[in-house]
Amino acid sequence: MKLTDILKELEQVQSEAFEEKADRRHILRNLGFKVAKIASPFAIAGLTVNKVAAKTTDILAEAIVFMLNMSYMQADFYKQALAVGGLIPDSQKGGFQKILKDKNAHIAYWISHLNKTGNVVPTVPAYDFTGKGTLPKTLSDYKAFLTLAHAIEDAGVRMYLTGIDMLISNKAFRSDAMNMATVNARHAAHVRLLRRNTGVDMMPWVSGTEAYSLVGEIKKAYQNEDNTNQLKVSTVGINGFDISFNAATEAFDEKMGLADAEIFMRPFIV
Amino acid sequence: MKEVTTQDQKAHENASLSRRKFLNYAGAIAGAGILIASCKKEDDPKPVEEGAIDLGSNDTGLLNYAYLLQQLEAAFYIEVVKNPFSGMTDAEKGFFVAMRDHEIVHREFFKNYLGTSAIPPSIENDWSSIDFSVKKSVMAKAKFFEETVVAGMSGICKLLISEEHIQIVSKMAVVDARHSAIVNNFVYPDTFAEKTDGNGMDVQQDPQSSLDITRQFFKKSISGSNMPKY
Repeated sequence: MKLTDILKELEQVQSEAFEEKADRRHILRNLGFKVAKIASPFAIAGLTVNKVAAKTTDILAEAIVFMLNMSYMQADFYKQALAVGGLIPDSQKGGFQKILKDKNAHIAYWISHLNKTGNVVPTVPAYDFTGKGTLPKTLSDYKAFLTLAHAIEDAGVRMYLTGIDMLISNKAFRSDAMNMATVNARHAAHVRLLRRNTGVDMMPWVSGTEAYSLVGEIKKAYQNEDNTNQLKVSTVGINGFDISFNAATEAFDEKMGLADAEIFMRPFIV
Repeated sequence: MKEVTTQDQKAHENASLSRRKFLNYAGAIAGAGILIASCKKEDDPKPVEEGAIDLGSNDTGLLNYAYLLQQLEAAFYIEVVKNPFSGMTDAEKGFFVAMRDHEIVHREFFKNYLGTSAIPPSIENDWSSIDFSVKKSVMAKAKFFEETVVAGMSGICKLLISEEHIQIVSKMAVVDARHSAIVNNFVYPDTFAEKTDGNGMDVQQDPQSSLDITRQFFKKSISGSNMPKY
């Protein structure tokens, strides 16, 4: 491995460990999960047992638990929906079964790694996809179901982008999260296409914050999706090309931080 | 790297990294008792074929490859919109226009971000394998390009060092994955995620073998011999 790799990892460990760790633990607890207790370190790039590695390990397990939060919610959502007779048209069940299969595979993969490293595997919370009554038709009306489905999918893409960032010090896990993030994006695009086909004027990618097509709590899934400044490069009308605000914001999905993820998910956790 | 620096500044930072940052972290490294012996100095750049475009090394080389991928997609969709296949519906055109615009944003982002380290813009394409007047030919290539780019961008992410580079490439890769999903669906229903493995993970490809696939669509010779490898 290159020296710059190692230095980058150490640099990462420092900022992560000192700045955000306490905050993350707090948020994870609020989501109803027991924060992963670290019994044995993940192997990170040759840095084995020392204080730095122990802190990194903590962060890796927390990242996995963070992503599991969303994968649990997604899998339970489709499981419940597929069990309601007549909710999803027969012609579209295959697609949702495929999505559920992928989500379950994500869950199994992350759980296997928590187990292998002696970490606590969080239990699956009970979910109420009516948002405690604020979205009463979610599991009885197909259009209402699709509305929450794409919000959950888009939020999932965004949370996995955050997961990639939290796993930055570990190339293997970072790649795993990346390869799941693009699959989540495929699911999101499919669900959005289905909703478009019901007559809603929307595309398979996220335009701005999409406030127009969403109600109540699920708008929270789109906060900060309207970013038009990427690493200080302004993207609207970039280099004189006719690039609208919508196109500029659609071209990038944005990370969803832990605080926003909590705001979005909390109404659906009993 | 919170600032967008000029390439000269970046080069300077990289050059000084090994000494300055090493001293900063010397304490932490000493505790680990590691690895320095196995770290070798970055090799000198390998010479490339005469007339070939050298993507470069380190993160710059990888971002240049991402730039090349986005050039490919943007140029393809520009052509698709300019010369619509026979029978293209307004709805289909709407999707192609949107995807074209996203790819232009991606392409121009890399051009601006890489600055003087960027490969040339608008490298001429070889479209001889595509019949733009035939829907089936266009859709098949759109599917192929999107799948290739998603896998390639993920592979680039695996090798990048800088956190903000990883973030920006992953933020684009998921949008390319959205494109890939719907193009797949247009070719055959419900195939939006047809290539996931048993862990629910997408295909990822290392930049070297990705370039071996994409170079045929450019008229100039492209060298990735200095790019980081898996």
